[in-house]
Amino acid sequence: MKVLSKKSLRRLAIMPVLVLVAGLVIGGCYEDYGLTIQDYDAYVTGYVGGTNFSAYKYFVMPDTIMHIFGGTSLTDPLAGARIYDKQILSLTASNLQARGFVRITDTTQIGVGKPYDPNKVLVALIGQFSTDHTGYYYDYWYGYWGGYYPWYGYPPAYVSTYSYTTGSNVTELVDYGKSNSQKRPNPVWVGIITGLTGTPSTTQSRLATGINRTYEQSPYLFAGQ
Amino acid sequence: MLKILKTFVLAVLFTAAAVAQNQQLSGVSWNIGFPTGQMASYIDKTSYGGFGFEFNRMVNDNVSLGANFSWNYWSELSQDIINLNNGAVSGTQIRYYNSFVMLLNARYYLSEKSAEFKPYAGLNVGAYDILQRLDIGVYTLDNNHWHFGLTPEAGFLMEISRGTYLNTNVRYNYAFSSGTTYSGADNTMAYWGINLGLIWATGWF
Repeated sequence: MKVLSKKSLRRLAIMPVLVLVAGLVIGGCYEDYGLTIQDYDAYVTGYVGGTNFSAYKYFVMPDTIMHIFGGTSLTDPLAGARIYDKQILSLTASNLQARGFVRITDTTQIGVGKPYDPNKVLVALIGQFSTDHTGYYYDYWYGYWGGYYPWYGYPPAYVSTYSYTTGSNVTELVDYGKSNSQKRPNPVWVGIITGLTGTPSTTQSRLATGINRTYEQSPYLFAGQ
Repeated sequence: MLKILKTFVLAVLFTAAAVAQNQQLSGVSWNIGFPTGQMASYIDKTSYGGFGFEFNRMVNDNVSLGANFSWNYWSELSQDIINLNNGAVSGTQIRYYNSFVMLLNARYYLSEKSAEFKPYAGLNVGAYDILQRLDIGVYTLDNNHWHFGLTPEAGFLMEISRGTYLNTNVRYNYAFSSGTTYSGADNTMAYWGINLGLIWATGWF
């Protein structure tokens, strides 16, 4: 009977190791994180550099959410989302109030010589976008929002094309005084919640999570005294 | 730095070309990567997905010169907030690094030519192509840069059959800055590597 040499035994012992190694290398490349619809939500915030947020004390907010949609359709694809407007407006107001901003409901009281100094007032504008085409998302809505977008200065090296139906909720805080004197909007902060269109049962909680997240990740956003 | 690199490259190429054809070692390896520093601030996770190829020639009883090519892959699921200069991004993210490495290598073997166990120390010089990717929401952001790299190593060969060696080494992969990460930070990358593989030698040991 032939007895295996010491070196042959070592060679045999290495085989399971090689198989294990091959398995790990292949397995390591294709990790499945099991993402759900909610995991495709992203929260983006940006502000104009040098803004002194403590210079502001008040805010005004229209009671309407603007819907922006492209293509040739005349039908608002976001019409069904109107049921969330109240929740969005309420959460936005409560987040700003929690940061010390006082809401003004009577805009006739804002102005020089009036109770509220316009330079201490922010306007909270909320808009929603719907896209269901294939293309470059940022290019698509860049033109709609006054040329300002939150990745300004940080253009992604590459933004992949997509073919999903997406929706975005965009909040802008605009300097009331500057906008009036310069006759153009002067946004100082933007918060975006964007994601795939999901089921109505989860939309409400996703919106709430998203709105709160945009303020949580903006620790500089506090009113002055 | 460029002068040292040029000298090193020329020395490897000329010396390797001058030695006999049958004094060569070739090998494959499984490469495990542990990110450090800036790299670890993006993905703090060990890479078990990596492999390498190497080709070396002995120029005397104790020195080999050659080249190696390797790849390491990292990915991590994260919920962290990514701070930018004037803002932030958050949400479920999958973060990736892919490191493609091409290095020239010089090794010094501490043992005798006939020894079954051959510890060695070496130095690698060459190029790192490191691709940083962020998947967030429905977006993918890529940030790809080539780096000059300097990589010291220490390891050993252990003969498991005639002409076949188990090769184990530890490398400190250092890819010098060549730009910025997508968030604007310096993109110097560094990771420790533990490489386990086999080397086949012809006509020498």
